[in-house]
Amino acid sequence: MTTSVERPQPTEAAPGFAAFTARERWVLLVASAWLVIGLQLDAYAHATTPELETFWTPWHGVLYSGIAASGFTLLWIMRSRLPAIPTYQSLISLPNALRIPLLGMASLLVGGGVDTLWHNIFGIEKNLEIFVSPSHELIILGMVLVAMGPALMMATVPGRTLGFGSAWLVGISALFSVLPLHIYSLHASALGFRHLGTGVAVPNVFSPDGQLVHGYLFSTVLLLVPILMIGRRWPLPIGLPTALVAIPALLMHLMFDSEAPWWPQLTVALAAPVVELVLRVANHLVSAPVTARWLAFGLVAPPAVWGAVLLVGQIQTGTVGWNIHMVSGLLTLTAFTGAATVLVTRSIQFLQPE
Amino acid sequence: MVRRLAVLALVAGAIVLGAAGPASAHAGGLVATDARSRVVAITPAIPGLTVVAIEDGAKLRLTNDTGGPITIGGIDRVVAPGSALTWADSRSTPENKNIDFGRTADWSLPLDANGTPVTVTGVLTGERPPNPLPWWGLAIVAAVAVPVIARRLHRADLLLAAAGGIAMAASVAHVTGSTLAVESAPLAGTFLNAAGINLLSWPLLLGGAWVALRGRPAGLLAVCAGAALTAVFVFPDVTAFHRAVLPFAGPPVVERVLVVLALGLGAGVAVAGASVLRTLAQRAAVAQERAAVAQEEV
Repeated sequence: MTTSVERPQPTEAAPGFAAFTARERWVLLVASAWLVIGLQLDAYAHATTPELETFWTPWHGVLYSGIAASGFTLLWIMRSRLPAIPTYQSLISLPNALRIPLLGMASLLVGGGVDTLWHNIFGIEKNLEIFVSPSHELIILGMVLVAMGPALMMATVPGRTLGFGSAWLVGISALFSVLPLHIYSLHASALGFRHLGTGVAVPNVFSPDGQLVHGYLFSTVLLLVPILMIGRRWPLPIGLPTALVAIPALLMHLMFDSEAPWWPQLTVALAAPVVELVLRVANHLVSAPVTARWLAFGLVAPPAVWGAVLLVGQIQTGTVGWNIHMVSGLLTLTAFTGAATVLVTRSIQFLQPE
Repeated sequence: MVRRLAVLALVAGAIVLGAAGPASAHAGGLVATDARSRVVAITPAIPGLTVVAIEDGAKLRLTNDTGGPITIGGIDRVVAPGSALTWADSRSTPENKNIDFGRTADWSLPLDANGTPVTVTGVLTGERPPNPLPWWGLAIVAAVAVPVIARRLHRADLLLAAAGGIAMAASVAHVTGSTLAVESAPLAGTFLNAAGINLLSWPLLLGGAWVALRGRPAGLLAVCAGAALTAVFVFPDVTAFHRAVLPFAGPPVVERVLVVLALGLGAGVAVAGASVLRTLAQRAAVAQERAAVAQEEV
């Protein structure tokens, strides 16, 4: 049972633990960025060079050294927060802002070990298998949790204002947390290879058209959640929602579809600031409870951005590939998905002691 | 501290980025299999053309001293005159092939030697796989023995440091042997590739043991973390318990012993660490309390 959160209280660092310093936050940000950039470079290399499976590359080097850098950074941050004789219990008792990235590092390392065993026994995954491999999922989960660290540490700082530097830190941390999820949902993404319908007059229920519908819905959720999570804790800095939509879109195209025309992702990147500007203006003009305003954001933003993509697609290619049933239904569904994402994300409660 | 971290990270990055060599499930992309592959004949024999199986048949190496180009059928790679090519060919490799002990399977691949059709033939020979149960049993015994013995020792920290050190030594020997089995890639890059995340676990074990033995029990946590990582990263090589032909430069039994030690002792130290560290913390608290009482009495 959850209730709507109007204004969540800032989390405090656990009693007895030193507050995280700006230096700790930024060092972890650099290390986790190194880690995720390594993944992106590796994904790009594998997407563009299929025979890479048998060759060790600098991209793997960036990825593995990023794991080491993140690991050593977490050890450094953890060291001063453990007692003289640390126990396993003292590790578990660390504050969430440190415990979650540590859990991520554990998931990453265990996933790496399992991945090697998997390859030894069953061979190397290809195409869709890559995205549903259990060991890969552990690795991606680990990356996401490690990359969240700097933003979680920032959230322990009392107060509800986010300075310029802090906004950058939180934004980059959120971006690197969500990027691995965009990459690993390439099979169900509106930021991947396909953006328009196949042109089949009456699309089958189970078909590429059906897959693309779900791609739009999944990308809606992935693009909204970081914005909503940050918006729960601080007033959203101007331009941050745009960055959290435009940058993943452009990077996904660069990594996986750079030979194809840029219009779909450029449309997303240009529609995002327009939607942000309109909603910010409306926010000042309309008086409504905060949850209603967030709900309106969830209802309006996704169909506005995706509608722009379909419109530009019509102009660029001469067809959307779908009829009125599909287009109107898809945009309605993205609006509902946006609203539901808002309601769920803003209703998440902190665990209460029983 | 940040500067030291940055230097460490840059050095690690530079080492890793500077390396080059194949990577896959194991050093050099080699895996444990149940068969060996070898080249039997090249028909017709062409002067200057040699094809040999290397790394127990995982890869083929073609050397072209014929004066003309040679095209490998099926993968359509052209080997220029005066050059050589090493590659893993699905037709000749024992990987992912089930060949029973004592059985053989022939393979062949076509070449075009400057217009002359040539056939390379070879054979895969199945080898006897080991009984995996004793090896698994030894690994489990090692994993259970460490926490059991630790409960009976007053200085269990020394036991964990020693067991962690043995696990690390086994891991280093395992990685070195795996590296030396690779003929088709540079040594340094292959070693780094084979070591992988052990580059993180070895310093943890070594540094942690050093700190712990110098009287700072906090180092024991690093030993436990390093031991856990050692166990996790040697776990993929439990295939050595099940398969006959191992990518290791040495007797297979040595490789299996190394995997048992790294896996069993690594897991054992990680498990035992919980109670050993808790006991050390409790002793320290009691000692502190006694010192406070003595201070008050004075």
